Amino acid sequence: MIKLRINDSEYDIDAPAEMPLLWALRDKLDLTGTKFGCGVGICGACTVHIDGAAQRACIVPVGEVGAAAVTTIEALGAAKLHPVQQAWIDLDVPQCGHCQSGMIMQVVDLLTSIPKPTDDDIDAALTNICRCGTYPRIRAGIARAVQATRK
Amino acid sequence: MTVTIGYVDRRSFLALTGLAAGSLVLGARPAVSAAAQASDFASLMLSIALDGRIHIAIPTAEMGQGTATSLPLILAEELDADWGKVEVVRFVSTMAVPATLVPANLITANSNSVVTWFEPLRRCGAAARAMLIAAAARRWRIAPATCTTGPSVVRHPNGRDTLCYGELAAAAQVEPVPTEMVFKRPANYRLIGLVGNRTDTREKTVGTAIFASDVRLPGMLYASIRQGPVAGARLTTFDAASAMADPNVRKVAAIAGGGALAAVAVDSWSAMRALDSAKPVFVLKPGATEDGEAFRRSLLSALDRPGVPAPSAQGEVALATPGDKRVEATYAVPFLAHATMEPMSCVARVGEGSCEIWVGTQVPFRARDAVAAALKLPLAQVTVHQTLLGGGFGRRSEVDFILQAVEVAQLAKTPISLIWSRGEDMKHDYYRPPYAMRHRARLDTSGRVAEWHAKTAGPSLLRRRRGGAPDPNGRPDPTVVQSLLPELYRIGAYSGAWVEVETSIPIGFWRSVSHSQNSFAVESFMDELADAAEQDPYAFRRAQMTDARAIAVLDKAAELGDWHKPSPAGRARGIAAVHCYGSYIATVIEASLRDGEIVVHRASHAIDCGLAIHPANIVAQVEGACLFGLTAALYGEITIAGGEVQQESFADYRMLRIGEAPAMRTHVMASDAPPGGVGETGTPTAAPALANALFWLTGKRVRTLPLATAFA
Repeated sequence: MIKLRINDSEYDIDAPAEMPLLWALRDKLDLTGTKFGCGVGICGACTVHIDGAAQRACIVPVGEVGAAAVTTIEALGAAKLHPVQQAWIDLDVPQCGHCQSGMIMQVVDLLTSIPKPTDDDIDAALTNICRCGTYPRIRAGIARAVQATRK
Repeated sequence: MTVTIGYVDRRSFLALTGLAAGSLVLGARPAVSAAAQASDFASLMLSIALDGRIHIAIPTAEMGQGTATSLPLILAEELDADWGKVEVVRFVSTMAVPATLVPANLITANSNSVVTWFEPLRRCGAAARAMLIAAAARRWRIAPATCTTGPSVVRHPNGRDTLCYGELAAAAQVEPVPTEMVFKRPANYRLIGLVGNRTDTREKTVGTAIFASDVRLPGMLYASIRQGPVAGARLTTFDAASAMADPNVRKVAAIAGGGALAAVAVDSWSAMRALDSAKPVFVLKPGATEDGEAFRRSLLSALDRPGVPAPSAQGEVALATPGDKRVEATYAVPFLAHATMEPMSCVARVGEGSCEIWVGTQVPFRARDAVAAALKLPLAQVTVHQTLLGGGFGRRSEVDFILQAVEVAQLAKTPISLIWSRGEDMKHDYYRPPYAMRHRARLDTSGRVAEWHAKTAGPSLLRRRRGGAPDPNGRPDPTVVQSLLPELYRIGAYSGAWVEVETSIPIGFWRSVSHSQNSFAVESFMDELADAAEQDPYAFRRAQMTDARAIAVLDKAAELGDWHKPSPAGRARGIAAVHCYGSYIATVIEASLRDGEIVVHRASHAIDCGLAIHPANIVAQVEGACLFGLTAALYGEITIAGGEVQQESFADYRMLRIGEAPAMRTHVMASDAPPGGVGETGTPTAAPALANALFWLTGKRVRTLPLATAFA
């Protein structure tokens, strides 16, 4: 059994140590907000926070998480919507939505380390793939979240 | 009891389960075909509950293109509903009554959701409103014509009394269904063209949105499949013992007549690992070792054959004069994958004499029919639950993965969640086929197009779908030849032709279908003609256009894209205009080269799609579809060797990231014309506008996609 701390709760997961965190979340805990897009860490759909930093859960074995705190999209706005989520809702950023959980988690990570990112900062941090092409609204959403946070 | 409008009478509605007593329930049906007009079904659209909540369910897929908002808006407008009380419900096939009569061609494709459902939804909403007014008037003992409505209320002419839709619903349902509807005038719209937000944004932002791969059922197990390296390959051996050595793996078996190996486990990852451990060996189908390079060459040489007319020669050929210019160019495009963000997935539960599936699909009734045939069940015993789609683009109009899920569920004797790996999804797509296109034209001395002849060589999409021999009457496949010749420009005489060249690679419908390759050729060729005529590409197009809507869109895009101002140093602009799906679009792209790498700075669009139901979403669709087209134009190429697709991940099938995406501006033209399609309309202009920009930048004309390596 592997002990994991996810969204401020402790879980015992019956899984081999090599199982990627993504599948423990989705299939063992039914936390299906984190999505599977490629399984090799390229697309970013599976992005979660581990001790506050964005990580691609499809390439993090559960055996390596240890005591670190995992946060998924379900917990991000549980008490109150995160400013990024509110901006996403205000501007209707998602289209199909399958990339957006990971996209939001990556954006939150970016704004945590760089509260007022430049376009270059955004380009470097956001390598997540969006197949529907919501990039223009993602940029606008980031600007809106930055504005809201500064108030 | 329930009522419907239009073609179905009350007797067609038997007891409908699951509906709250006293609610008003109405259905509607679009005319999708002559067969549909003859059949007696209605899709349950609308239910108004006692507490005033309004549930709306539409059979279209929500794959990001916004039908879960635009279609309810149409209905809610004519109903005169309080939009805040509207809840959109995911469609289940049994909501169509009777479901067995719904034609399989009721699909979400061809950008036709608003086009198909606009009238039926207006009628449904207007009928419900009339019945609610009639119920209120009866209670007040006044004439219905004296009543008005406001958002979810009927208003008494005394200006004081009102009755809510919720409290009227039970009485309204026994009022006669009107045969003549009174529709709102666009000037009085409160919702259409005005409502900003989508109905599905919140769930997609907080992680509660349910895609097929998120469905969870009691006793459900997880499965994945591995097909052979080449389409049609058959499984010969696999190491079941190694796969089953993992205690988390429950079953490993051949399915699809040996076309695939399936693994069932307590989690998806263990199922995918089991497919690796089993080391399946496939034998290839004879003759299925197509080489992509050889096929590409065969398309080019096929252009020397006559082919079938598409269309045959039209117009009068003006006599050539010495000053005329002749231009000829040959274009080529490769196989393209859909690469939806969510790999193919489906949940299936097979019972005694019945089957339920949960799937994000563009073809719920085609899926139902295929599952019923596979299980030898009556249609009424198969239920399709629509989930959100993690991308469609035409890939989810196929049912291959659905049939696999059903077969695995049968074998496993328990509900199954089937998820394909990304590698499987990339290698077993139904690709946009490659085409070679040759265009020849003659410009007269005043720079007008006197003649234009176009020929395309490549596979038939419809024949692949329906199977069998080529059309004995030699009619061309419209999904190949539509827009082979331009529809926007006045040309003296023209002809088209199609040389069918078959491929063994599975092919299918990709966002914008024939427009994706034909508009690349046509709109690139227009620039080549403009260049030969020594005219500005915008002015050259404008002079040949006769349609006022096309001209307005071209003018607007040119304005947004600063066409008439000099480009910044080191940058150039290209323009393209297309008429597709009943809409008009023009695009200006501004690009530069940095160390041989293409940089797309700006993309400006104007679209005329008739009545704009949800303008904010139209902008999102145009820009998203453009990015889809730019990704393909820059990088998109599926290569084939020995019949096997060579790409297997986003590492070798490159996707545009936010850092490469241009800044966008999009204008939606105001219009009262009937709605045109939007979901695919932004894609066809991307590749030609970019290729044109790069020509004006460098003097180098690239006629083969993808473009990224052409300037390196």
